[in-house]
Amino acid sequence: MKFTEKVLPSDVIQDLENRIHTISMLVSVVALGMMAIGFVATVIDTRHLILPGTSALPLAQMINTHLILSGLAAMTLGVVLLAVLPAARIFWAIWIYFRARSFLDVLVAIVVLAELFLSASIGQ
Amino acid sequence: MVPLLNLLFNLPMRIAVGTSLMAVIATSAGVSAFAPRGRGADVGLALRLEMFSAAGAILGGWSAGIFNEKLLKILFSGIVFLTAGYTLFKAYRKPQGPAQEVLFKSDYEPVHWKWGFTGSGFAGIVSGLLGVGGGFIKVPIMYALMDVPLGVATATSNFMVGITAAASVFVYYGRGDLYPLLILPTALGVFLGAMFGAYVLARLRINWLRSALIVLLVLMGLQMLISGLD
Repeated sequence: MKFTEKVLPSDVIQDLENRIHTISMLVSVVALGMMAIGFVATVIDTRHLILPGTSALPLAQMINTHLILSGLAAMTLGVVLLAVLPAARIFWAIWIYFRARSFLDVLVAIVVLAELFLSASIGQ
Repeated sequence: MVPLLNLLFNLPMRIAVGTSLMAVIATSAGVSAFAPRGRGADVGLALRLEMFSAAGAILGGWSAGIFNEKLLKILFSGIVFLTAGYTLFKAYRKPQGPAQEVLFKSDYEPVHWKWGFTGSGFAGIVSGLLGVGGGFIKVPIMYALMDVPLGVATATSNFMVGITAAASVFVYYGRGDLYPLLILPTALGVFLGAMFGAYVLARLRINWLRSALIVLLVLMGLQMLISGLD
């Protein structure tokens, strides 16, 4: 099998496209919804807003129980959810390729995912 | 978006870049979410090219500061002008004529993969070095060099830039440079824009989209040239 050859059946490609469509829609709506709810909660809580506001909370701090319900925590969760979407789409692609036994595609997707994590860790 | 946030709203550069990266991810998500069935990204092609693009971005980010940035911008503008010229030339060189070309089709076979990999790697290096999105390089590479239909190339490039942006955005998150109050309106705006764009793309004529691409390339090349000569 050549590296650049299209070998996946069209139904698998269609299935992948449909799932990416669904996950993108679902995650985007939930993320934007959480940010919007958080925004309303922040406005109610503080009654006045000064831009750029407060930076997104670190994940470790979000585990703190009383912050879970705060507006900023909800907005941060929305931001993080949206930020992980591209990686989530690659995970979905890996799963679909694995089910279709297209192991070369699985390998390509894993390499891209590894590069994504490497790039993020280099920048830290 | 970065100059807009930085100059117009007087935001520090790091916050502007962090917000802009989230906007890129939201655009990528919006286009994937609203693209009509059969008009989405070619994921297999995107991941193969992204392997080289991401490697280039890591190399570019790592070697930033070693190269002369102004010289790179001038070199980069030359390449963008050449790409714009080649895209224009290719449109009128096709044996069947540009009128019969279609935006989307599934039964195409990308060609010149070596050029595609090289171009994607270069786009990644430029992204890493200069902090610009590589979409405007990736679309002409796929369309002009690899014979990918323009609509598919646009959707595929959009899928790829989402991955590239995600690789950087967590660095900004870790440094405390992501501000939800700025991200919400930006993400909402680009999400709605992507929804409108996906609707318009399905109805666009190939000539209009190709003309927009050439104009965008020329403007980007000019901006880089002026910035490099400054």
